[in-house]
Amino acid sequence: MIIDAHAHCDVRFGWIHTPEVLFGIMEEGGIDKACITGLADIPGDDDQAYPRFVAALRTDPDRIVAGYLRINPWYGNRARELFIRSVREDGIRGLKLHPTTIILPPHAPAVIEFVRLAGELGVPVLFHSGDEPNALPLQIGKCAEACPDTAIIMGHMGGTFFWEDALRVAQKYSNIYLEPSGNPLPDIIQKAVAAVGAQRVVFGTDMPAIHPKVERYKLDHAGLTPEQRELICWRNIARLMGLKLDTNR
Amino acid sequence: MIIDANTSLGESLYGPKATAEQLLHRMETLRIDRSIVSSFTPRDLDLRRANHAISETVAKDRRLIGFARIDPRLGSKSVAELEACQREGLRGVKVDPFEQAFVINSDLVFDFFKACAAADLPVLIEAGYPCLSSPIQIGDLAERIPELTIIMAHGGQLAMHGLGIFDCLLVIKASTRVYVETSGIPETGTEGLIERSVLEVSSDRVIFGSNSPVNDPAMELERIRVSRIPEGAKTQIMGASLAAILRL
Repeated sequence: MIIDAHAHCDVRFGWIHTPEVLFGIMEEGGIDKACITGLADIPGDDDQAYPRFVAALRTDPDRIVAGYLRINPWYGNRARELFIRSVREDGIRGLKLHPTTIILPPHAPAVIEFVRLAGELGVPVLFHSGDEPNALPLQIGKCAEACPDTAIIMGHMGGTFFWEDALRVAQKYSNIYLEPSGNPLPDIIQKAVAAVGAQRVVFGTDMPAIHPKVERYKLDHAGLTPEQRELICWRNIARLMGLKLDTNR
Repeated sequence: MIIDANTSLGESLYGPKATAEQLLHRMETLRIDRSIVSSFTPRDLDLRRANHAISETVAKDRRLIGFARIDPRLGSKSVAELEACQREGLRGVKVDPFEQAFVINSDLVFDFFKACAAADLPVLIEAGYPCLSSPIQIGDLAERIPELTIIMAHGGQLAMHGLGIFDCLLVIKASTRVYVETSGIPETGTEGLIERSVLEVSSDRVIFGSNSPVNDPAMELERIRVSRIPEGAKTQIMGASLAAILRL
């Protein structure tokens, strides 16, 4: 079984990532289940973003198994109240922070407040990381240091230029998990496993923008033991998200 | 026919290494018919020696097409190396603005690229280094030397944040001699760069490259195969676009 820990489902910016589009690409790529996030930072300019996200999450709970709410910390209490309600009442199981679109570094006080809150609510945080300012692994490391009780998934694990930083930061902070989508190195999963062990690597694709077949290539050629593969493909993310899965199917 | 536009041979100062035998074996396995080869930045930094070795390698096997690696910062010496490489049968130039430390559209290297255009040699640029070779900087170079053929490695998405897609599309729409090479482009799904380049510009402006041995050519071929574009466009990308540029 493969659970994609990093998928998108939303219609925004000209991208049409509906549940149907997602299901089609999941089938092409051999992805069984997905944890989704939207494309809009909430609250923001799009009043329908939140109901749209919750509706997408409820489309097919067997395939879309969890969601990270994409929050804009600039909105302060309004964002805080929405995030708490989303977890307690609407079944949201994670927080997504995209430092580039919210224009805040991961170690900014406003961001740390939400990352701590996620830990208090018992849900993980998916950070976009990569090659642009505000999204650097070293910056995420400072956030992880300030929020030791929150599980942080480092999406893209530093991109093309900063994957070495991602490995070192993850070695330093045990609350960081590495997600290798988009990285062009074919052996990036081996590198992550060698650095922190399979217990702290989660498979993600960033689909449908990135096709899961390309990401599967890295997974399928990583030389993983069956136990490592299970951890990376679903056990780790299921644990982080608190998913109850029927694994006999 | 499948042609790989971007492979490197030798031992890089930065670690990776590959021999012609290893490359040819991988090509046979994956049914890649021909490959452009150039040298890594060698450990001894001697690009003259490295370019001569590439010319000797390609002379032994017509499946390999040689490109020169040249440091464009050296004024007349850079141009002299270009001429030497052309005499030795190399068919284009590869430059790496990070490894040789220059800004792609700076005055420092402008005359070298003018010389490439005058010699009718295409230039493969390691593209997407912030500050050095972002797509918009390559677009500026193309605008100032419109007769220069430029192959933009990685579609300018070497920094894989995705923000460079807009610039890349802008540049290839504006400059008819700028081409997108596909290695490492992350956005291979819906509305990704390969799909948009084909649908909004043309499949003959997109070129398959693997960046082997740093990237895996099997995985790089998969990027083309999964793209949501017509099968004819995939054939064009896999080889016909580059064959036309090199008049193969």
